[in-house]
Amino acid sequence: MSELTLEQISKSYGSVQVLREVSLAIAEGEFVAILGPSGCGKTTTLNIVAGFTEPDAGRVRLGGVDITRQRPERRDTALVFQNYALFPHMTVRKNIEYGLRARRIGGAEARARLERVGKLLGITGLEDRYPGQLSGGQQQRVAVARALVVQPAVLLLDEPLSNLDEKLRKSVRTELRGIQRELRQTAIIVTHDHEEALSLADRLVVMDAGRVVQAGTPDEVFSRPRTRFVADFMGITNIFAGARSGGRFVTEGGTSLPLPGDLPGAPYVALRPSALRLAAAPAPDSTASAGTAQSGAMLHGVVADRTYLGDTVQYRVALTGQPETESVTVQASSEQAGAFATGDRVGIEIPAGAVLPLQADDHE
Amino acid sequence: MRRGPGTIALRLVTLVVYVFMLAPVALVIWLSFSKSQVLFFPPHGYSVQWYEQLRYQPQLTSGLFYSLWLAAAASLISVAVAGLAAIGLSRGVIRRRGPLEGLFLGPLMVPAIVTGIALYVYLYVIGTGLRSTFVPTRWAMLLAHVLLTLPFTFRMAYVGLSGIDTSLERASLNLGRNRLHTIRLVTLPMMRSALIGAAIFGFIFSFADLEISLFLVGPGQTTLPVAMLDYASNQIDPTIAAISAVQIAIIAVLLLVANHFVDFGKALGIGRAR
Repeated sequence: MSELTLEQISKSYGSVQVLREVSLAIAEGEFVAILGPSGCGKTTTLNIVAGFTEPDAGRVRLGGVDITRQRPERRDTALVFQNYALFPHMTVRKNIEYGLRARRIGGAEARARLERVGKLLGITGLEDRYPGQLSGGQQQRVAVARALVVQPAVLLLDEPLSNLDEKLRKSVRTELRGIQRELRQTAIIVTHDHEEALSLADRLVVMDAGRVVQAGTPDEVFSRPRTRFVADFMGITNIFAGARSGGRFVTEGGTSLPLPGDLPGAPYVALRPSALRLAAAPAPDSTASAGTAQSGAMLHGVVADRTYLGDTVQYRVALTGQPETESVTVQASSEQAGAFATGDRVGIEIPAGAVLPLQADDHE
Repeated sequence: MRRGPGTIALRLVTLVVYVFMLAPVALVIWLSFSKSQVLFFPPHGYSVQWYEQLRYQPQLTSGLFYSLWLAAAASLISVAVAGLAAIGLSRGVIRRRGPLEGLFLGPLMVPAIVTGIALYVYLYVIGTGLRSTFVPTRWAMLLAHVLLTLPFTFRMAYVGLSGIDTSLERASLNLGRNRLHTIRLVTLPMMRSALIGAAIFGFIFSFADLEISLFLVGPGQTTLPVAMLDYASNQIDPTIAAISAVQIAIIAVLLLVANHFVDFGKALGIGRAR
């Protein structure tokens, strides 16, 4: 049994409250990502689980046992540090054996485990090198091996991929996911990269200013962000403040957006850039709707700028008759790319699924 | 590289400073190979007779061996104390470190001669009170030299420790080793260079000390610098130059060894640890 629960954890440093009644439950074999910007309390949460930080209030339980006051060396957790924290004066083998020796595991059992993690992480052959003689990617593997070899109840990962370059990060990510699945290893990863969290975890916990703002499967969080903050953090850019008016949502700038009937009232609405579609605008003189640019499910405007991103092209469309702040970002596939240039008049189609009503942030 | 008038001026000043610093040392070594009975420059001829003569100067040779023993013992004790103090201060639970850090560097602020007198008076009074003799004994001398070297060894250990990433120690705890094992298996091995450097530096400071030792020397227990002072107050001949050259050679070798272990600029640099 290695179910981990955090109950109403609070922590302050002086007058700064870093965690406010954070509660989490992580099932055995589950991979949970704690996602948030720096300073949101995610690393403090990890340190409380590892035992490096003592909470002011609340409990941590592992397999039903209260470990809130247990010293770090007695906890069955293993942490992969952001900077790997490999012992520079020890060989790779000594580094990996470190936790086994502390647990008095030796002989055939130790050899078998070493061989297993070595194979799992593809670091066989590096055993007699020192960390300083390894590449960043290899160091990262050794750090993961050192943590996995003790077969911890919970594996903790503190932004483990942030020091790797883009390409390596993606391949290690896939591998890490595979290993976690294979071992059914209960794990928590802390990250500020939403892509990393979405691709790795079974469940996402989004934190902001010491609180859990939303928890759910990657799909739930990404397709139905609860608050303005979560939407923003997930890379959804078109967020408008406003209010419901009849069947539509009228922004503070006066833009009227179609609101699918079943959506609840909310102080914010986001338009998912990738769900919007651009269409060539009808000739300005052939339509009387030029002045009332926001009728139906279509917005009208002019392409203000265009950013080529490879697979996709990002357009910023200034809405007709609206202030600059009301521009809408549309992400279109490159196939459509040649179609529009800066200055073109365009219409923006808004499918029902593109509109996300958002709650205000908890601390607002 | 451009060689404007500024560069040339800088080189010139550097050269002058080096000559000013090194000329007396060079001169002493030069004169130690003189042939004549008196210190005369330039020498009329060269010989190594003054080095051979050292054998017949028991106060200088016994001073040399006493100083070597003293410096070795004092620096080892000093490094042990400094290492533990640095770990305690930097990794412990003490909240206000400032005053304690200051305490360890404190002896630097007291003129060495005052420390010497103060220690002599203190140990004399205590010794008399306990109907025993504390000064002059070699243990009093050892204590004084530990005290003398502590600011340097502490500072080097402290700086060495501040360069160690604390996540290494946390990794050790996380993997199941308690604090004591963590210090033994991670912290101390990581401090190795700093501690070796501190020991060598402590050795040099102890070996070269005159002022503190001056008050604590006793019959048959005279440090080399005090013995040299005694010798030179009676006569000046190339013997004193020869023993000086020996002293310089010992220190130079130690500095070369130490340089291999420690970045002195960093260890003694401006600014505080942390």
